[in-house]
Amino acid sequence: MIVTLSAVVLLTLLGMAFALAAVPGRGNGRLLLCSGLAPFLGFGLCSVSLFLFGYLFDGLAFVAMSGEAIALFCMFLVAVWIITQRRSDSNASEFSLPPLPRRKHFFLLFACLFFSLARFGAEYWQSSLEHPHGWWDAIMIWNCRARFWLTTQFGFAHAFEVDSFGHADYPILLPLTVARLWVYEGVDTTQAPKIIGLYFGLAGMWCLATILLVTKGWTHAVIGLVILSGTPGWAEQSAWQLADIPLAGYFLASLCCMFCADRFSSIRRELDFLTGFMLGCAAWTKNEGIVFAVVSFVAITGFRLMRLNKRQAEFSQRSDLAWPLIAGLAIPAITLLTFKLTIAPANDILEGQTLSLCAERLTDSERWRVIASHAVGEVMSLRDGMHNDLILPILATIIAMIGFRASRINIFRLLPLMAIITATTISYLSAYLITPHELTWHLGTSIFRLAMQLWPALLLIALLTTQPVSENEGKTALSS
Amino acid sequence: MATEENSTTTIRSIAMVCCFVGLWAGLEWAGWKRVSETKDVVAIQTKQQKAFGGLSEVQQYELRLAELKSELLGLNVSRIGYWNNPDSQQTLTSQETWVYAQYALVPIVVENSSDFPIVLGDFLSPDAESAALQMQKLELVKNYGAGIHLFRNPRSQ
Repeated sequence: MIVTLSAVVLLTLLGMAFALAAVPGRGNGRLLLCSGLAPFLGFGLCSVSLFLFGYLFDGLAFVAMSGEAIALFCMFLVAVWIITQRRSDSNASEFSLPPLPRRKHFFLLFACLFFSLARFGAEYWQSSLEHPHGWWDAIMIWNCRARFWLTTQFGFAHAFEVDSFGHADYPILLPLTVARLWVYEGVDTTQAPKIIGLYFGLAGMWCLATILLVTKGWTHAVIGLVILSGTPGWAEQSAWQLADIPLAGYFLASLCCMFCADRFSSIRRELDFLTGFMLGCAAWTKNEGIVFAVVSFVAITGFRLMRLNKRQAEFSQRSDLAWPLIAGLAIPAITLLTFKLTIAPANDILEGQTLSLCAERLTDSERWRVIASHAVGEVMSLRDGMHNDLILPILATIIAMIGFRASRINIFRLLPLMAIITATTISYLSAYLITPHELTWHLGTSIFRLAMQLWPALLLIALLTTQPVSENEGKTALSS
Repeated sequence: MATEENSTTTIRSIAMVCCFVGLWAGLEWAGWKRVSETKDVVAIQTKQQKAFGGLSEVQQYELRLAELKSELLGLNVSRIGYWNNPDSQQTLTSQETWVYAQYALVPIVVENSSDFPIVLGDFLSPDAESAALQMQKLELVKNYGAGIHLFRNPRSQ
């Protein structure tokens, strides 16, 4: 366990170094923003590097692991060098944090936060006891895949030779992360995937809190943290050791970078690069991430093209609209393509599909009704079982927003993010329309997890549409 | 005018916080209600777990398949088939037993089919075991006990 915890800390520090190297500036606000992105940056980059070395050396043997560790250390040194160079830049922008509000009612919010976090801990602990090896998909897919790489007897690609049902085409950020910790430990402990599950659950909450603190202030940050940590299912699914919570974190980190790129235009290129990298890592986590990455890329470039005339000064050339995004996307995208084209089998939803079959399913009104009823039930249900009870955190969010003023500027700025989430949701529901699996079974086993992938992003957008409570809370501006 | 606006903002903020706290209390109650409905959390066991001394399904399969796994890896066997003959006493579905067997036998790939030269027979009850052996569908190579058998499929050489 000490080895696992040490590795997690080291990978987080690596991510922090990369974030600080990528985001120029000074001040506590910059540190906080980078700390929110660090877990996703660190684990994403390390997963990509481990795949490349494992693929080249046909397994995670000592040579591959050593080579990868040396490569990461070299990248860390480069990141530290860039940070030291940036520190000597006197023109760097200043990120400041707003002061803590002095309001009588603020302690109530911290009390809510305390109980919400305690609830998160209790629900995680209970769910972890119920599922020591993870929920069903962790045993069938994620941890099973990771176990294949504990030995090098049959090669790296042997893990994907299962013809029977097992989603062998799924990208492998999470299994590689778990396999790394198991290789360091020398044995497949149950603690490593549990720690990873908890880590990504906490990282998602921290990312949400930091972006809200930097852009809106303490009240928004605490309310966002209270709602997400108290959402039924967030802690439970973190303990399930699936890829849905890490994917939700990458969705959140991507949207954070997108929003900051728009708000802090002087460092837009650097934040665009990070956005591209986060989108690539989302695609590297699960197939739904590929949908999100494509939709996001189209939305960002499309909206920027539409606003190009008004914001000509920001883009010296039209290529500035997208090249930093593409540069960030490149490495995880190349990794994903290598995986999909050379190792992964066909996707179970797309395999065997024909246009006529798809057309028949798309025009079946009964399928639309079943999908709609499951989607509504996912939000409205307060029953036990495979539901997230999202109606309560949604209502809590609406109530919280009543106390804030809406901002027309913010809503306009958030249109791309809203379009991305809407298009992703439509894509998810479309997949159910054409699925070759039995529809009720497919919905019942997955829709609650897809909802949890999108919930943190929806919460972020909802709170970003509002103004800070008072002038002082809005003063996290970037000054240069 | 400024004083009135500040008062309105203050009242609105306090009202917002009160509503938020009230709704959050409702959320916590709903969450704890769902948690408390699960009786005796630490001692949750399935029927299979009770039959195997409190172990989880994964642990049961790892114990049952340990000897077979060691022998197959020693022979460099990377892929085998799977045969489960479920009866009314079996509480797990055939797919569930196959997934647990695959997880326990990694890095050996276990295909959910008996059309392979080497097949793992997994029988979770004595009746299912005897019925499967009487079928003479496959040639028995070795009986490892606890319902685990290794078969050879002569039709798949």
